[in-house]
Amino acid sequence: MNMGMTNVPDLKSIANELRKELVVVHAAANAPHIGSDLSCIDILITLYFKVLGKNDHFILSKGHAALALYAVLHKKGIISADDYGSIGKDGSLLAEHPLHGMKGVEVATGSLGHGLSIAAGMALVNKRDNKSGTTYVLLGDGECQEGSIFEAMNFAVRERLNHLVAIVDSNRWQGLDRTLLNAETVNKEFSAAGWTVNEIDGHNFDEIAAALKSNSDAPTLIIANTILGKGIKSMEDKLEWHYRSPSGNSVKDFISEIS
Amino acid sequence: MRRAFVNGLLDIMGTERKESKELTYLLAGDLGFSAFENIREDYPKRFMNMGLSEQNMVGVSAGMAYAGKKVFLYSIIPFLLYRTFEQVRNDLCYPRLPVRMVGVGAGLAYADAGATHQPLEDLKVADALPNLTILNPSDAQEVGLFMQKIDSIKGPSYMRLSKNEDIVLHTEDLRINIGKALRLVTGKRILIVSSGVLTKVALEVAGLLNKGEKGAAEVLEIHTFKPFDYGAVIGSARGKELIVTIEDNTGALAEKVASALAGKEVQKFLSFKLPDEFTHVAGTKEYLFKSYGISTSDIYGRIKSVMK
Ligand SMILES: [Mg+2]
Repeated sequence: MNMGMTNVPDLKSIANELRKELVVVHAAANAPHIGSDLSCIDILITLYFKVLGKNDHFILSKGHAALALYAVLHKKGIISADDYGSIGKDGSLLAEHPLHGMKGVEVATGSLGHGLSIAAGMALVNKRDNKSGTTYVLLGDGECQEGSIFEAMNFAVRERLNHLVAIVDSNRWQGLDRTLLNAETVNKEFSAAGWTVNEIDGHNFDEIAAALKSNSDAPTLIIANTILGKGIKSMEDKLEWHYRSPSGNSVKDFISEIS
Repeated sequence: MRRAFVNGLLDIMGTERKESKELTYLLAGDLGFSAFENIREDYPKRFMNMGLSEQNMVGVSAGMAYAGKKVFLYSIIPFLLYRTFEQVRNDLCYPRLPVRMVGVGAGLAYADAGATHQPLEDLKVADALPNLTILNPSDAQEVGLFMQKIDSIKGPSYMRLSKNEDIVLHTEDLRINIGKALRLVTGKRILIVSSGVLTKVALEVAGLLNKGEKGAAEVLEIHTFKPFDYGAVIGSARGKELIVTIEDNTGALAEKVASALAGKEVQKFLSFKLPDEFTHVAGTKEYLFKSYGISTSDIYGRIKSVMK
């Protein structure tokens, strides 16, 4: 833990920087889903700056948080400044949901309920071929209503995919409402199926890193309790920021709220 | 036809074993009783019953393909292609992964199983997907040849099989090229275009016609439905008085042939296809095809009346 503690300020400053960027990029591109980006950006930063190794895989199953992923990939130098600057412009390779073939994007997503099965397939091959590496997949909490998630949940247990880690960005909102399937139920279902389930504060870098690195004999589900629009007080926990994008004078005000 | 598929798989897995490779997997959606015993015995790690979770089956196959594996998926067509449509579209077709979908029960093969089990529109549905290669073999021989050439298909593929009966239509020396139509019979006045197991009927009809008038009817078999060999259709149709299509779908082939010939000089066009509806009763497939006017004698009779 001590070593982790020294890294916390770095991640925090990266998070502040990327949150500010996201306000600007969303405003410029008039792109939706900033609330979702802000709820999972701390998880993505921890993954990319502290966890992912060269044999690991990551799938952003909640593809609508693509701009958060792009911000992290740009910060890591995987996405070029030119590409990053093209968001929202005609001909851009960085769509509101990740396109196939974009550098740094392993799997194109956008329709919910696909990522866990694909991640399970990757983890299965690693296990069968005795290869090292963990497959990570980030799900939305609304996404957990998709039936395919439950198909994959059972499959992962049957195949003992202990190097599969799914993170639920549990911001307790979905498109139109508070989540119709709450995190407690998701926790119970996955626990009953045989997953190792950990619940953490999805904005605490130490907790995120510890959970992502933890070992288990079973597939692991991390329920990350998060806040929609986290980091900008006037956006926090407000459903409208699932769809709205900042614009005009509000951009400066939102940025000034980030610290 | 299913046996030819299984034998093809055993060949592929046997070759890999000799080379100490483990690339090819067969994932089944809890179907294939008395079909896959050999594979399960000889290659227990390469067969997986994915259970009644077809969406997951397709997603897992995508993940395995990203990791370098060659995956075959097997189920009854509606469960393989319809239940999973978006997984097939987004997870296989979009990234162009070489996953091999093999569906059983094409057209009216499951005539007595009822409407839920009958994919009467699967060619139209599959044809709508970019990057997907559609194989519609007419007999076991073609299934075997497709299995030998399957690696040459860069993206995902969908092969539709009838049932477990082993139709034999072609001779041992058959050669096929994926994407190229087969001219099985040459003739001058009538072109019969067929796809899939009804090619047998097409050949019977042509046989009758050519017995009456030597060299009257030509048969063109579309074993690769996508990419569609428009050129072969246009070439074969040139100078013909009548174009006939025969299929076990609701017009997928008829529409393809008609669009190939749009703007060309064609005198007459007859399409033998299933109506745009669900079957109402159970019965043998011969009974149901006959009720839709799709039999050797019905088709022969219609052609004779048109050619009078
Ligand atoms: Mg949510």
